[in-house]
Amino acid sequence: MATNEKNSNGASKDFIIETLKKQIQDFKAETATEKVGRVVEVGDGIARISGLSDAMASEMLEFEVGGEKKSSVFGVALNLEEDQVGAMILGEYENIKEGDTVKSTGKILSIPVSDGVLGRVVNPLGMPVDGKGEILSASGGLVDTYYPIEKIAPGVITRESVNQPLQTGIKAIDSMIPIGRGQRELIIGDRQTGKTAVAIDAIINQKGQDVICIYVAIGQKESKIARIVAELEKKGAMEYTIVVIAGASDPAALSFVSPYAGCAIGEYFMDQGKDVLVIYDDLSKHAWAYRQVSLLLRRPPGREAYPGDIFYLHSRLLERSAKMSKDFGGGSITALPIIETQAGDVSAYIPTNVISITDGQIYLESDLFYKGIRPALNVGLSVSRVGSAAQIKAMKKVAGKLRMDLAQFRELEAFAQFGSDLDEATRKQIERGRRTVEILKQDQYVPMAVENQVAIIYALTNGYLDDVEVEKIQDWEADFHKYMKEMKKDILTEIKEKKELTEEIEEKLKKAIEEFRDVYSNGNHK
Amino acid sequence: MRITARQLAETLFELTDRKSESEAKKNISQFADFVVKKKKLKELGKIIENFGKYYNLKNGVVEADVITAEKIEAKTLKNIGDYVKRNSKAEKIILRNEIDKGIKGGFIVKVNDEIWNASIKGKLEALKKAITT
Repeated sequence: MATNEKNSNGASKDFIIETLKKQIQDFKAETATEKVGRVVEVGDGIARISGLSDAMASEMLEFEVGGEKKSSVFGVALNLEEDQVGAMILGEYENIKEGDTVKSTGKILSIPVSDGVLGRVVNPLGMPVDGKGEILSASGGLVDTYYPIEKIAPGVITRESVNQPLQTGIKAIDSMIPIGRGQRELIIGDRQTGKTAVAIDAIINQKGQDVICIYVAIGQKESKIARIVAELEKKGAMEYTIVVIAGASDPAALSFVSPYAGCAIGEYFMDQGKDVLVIYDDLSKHAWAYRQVSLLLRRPPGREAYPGDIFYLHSRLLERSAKMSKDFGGGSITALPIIETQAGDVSAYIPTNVISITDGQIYLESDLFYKGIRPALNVGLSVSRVGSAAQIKAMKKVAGKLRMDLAQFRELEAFAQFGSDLDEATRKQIERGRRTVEILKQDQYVPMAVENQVAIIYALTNGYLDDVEVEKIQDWEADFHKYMKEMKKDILTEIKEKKELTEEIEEKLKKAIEEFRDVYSNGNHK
Repeated sequence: MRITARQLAETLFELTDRKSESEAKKNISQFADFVVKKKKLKELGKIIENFGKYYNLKNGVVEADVITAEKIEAKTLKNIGDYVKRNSKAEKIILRNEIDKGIKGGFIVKVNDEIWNASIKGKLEALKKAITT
């Protein structure tokens, strides 16, 4: 009965053997000439190779590592010179020796992409590093879709202007520096000002928004990455998030490749018509990695020893963020690149480059951070060039006044110390400003839904908080949200669905706020 | 500007190509003086290597390594040589035969940076690849 034995797939043993036999029979071993090169020089993550006269720019090269265990390491051809090829090595270069053979693969550096990558932590070559096993495609098989890491950005015809908001859940940003889907908004600031915190909050807030998030860590401490992944998992955000990591101990070549890899994964989802949010944390380290690779390849150094094409390095990456038009799937990639400045110097080389590429910046300051204003957003220097087109009408209506209140407050702030000597209008303006600053403070990991933001900002700009003590503003706000959620849920839902503050809704909201105010002050007096 | 070993090798070739023996000798000794003057003596090995390559290129000489599992007959080697000559459009071919039991059978020809792998081992690897992927 042996021939009738079935395995789990229902195929008999004979069938499998027959198929194998057929496969072997049909196999034609064709011998063709192959171009090979020889390693002339190797070190510091780069190699110089003689031969390989047909290598393409940024083609994958296969280094055959000798020794007891034969294995191969991949590299990328970067410099194509007269009789040599300069390549960076993606992986362990310690075992590569002078004289080792190098084969060209005929493929541009690509990474495997699939739906299975969601919720995973991968390295810049698309290989999982989270110990959860191999990444499988949606159908459960091996991944056979590859996306090149370098791709020319979508053209003008395929694009559409930014018209849909991407809510970060941070009051200060969503109201005054709104971000739209397909926008590139730079997060810039010194170390320890909460740049990553803003980005992580934005990821957490995408829950249920049908946005796929990609967090690209470039040259980050692995402890920090582990902490972020743990936090995302805790908040249930890993379900729709992919983390691409090139840690501080990985070779510079991997750090250099990682943002492009993250972008390629993003493009895979964008091509399916999905919205993607990519965070590049951070591009200063990316520039450092590229500077290292370039200098080792003996490319001439320029300003601050960066190579001549450092601007193109970032512009070609960020240009790949796009909002596709309906005819081209309607997907989008929103980019939140992060730049770390040194001692607040935004006029350094890399910060100015990236500021000019992006559609606006969120500027975080350490002074504000130590004053306790968190997120430490400098509203005066932060701008969003295209996002306001995407802001929902309700928010637009309430936020205009907020911006003005804050600007006036900043002008008058210097006079605040004169206290009672000021005239009534000025004093009021300052008091309002203090409350505005208080309302815009927000803890980490607690993003707020846009309808709640509209409600609280409405209350603020219409003077309902003017008689609340500054120290009690945050408690007032917390209770207000609780009250709205429990008692007036219908108003919030209406704002969320209509996205507009019609007179009717406004009236209801006004009433609700007044009711709450009465309840609150009564409760406090008792 | 820095003079590379390759440039020196090319110069040496020009100095000696189609020259009478006495003239060539004179030129070579002058060339040697120049190399010493420019403190390039330690690059002599590279110069000679480059000279060999350049000489072969100019004269249509191709060097080929033939790797086989066992020692092969002179006639077979010649056949392989003729094939390489036809393919590379060389005028003259220098063949070197190496024995490597590891390739199991067949042969591998290496010409410059090209490899023509017709070994049993290569075919087995291709078969393995075809079945497993």
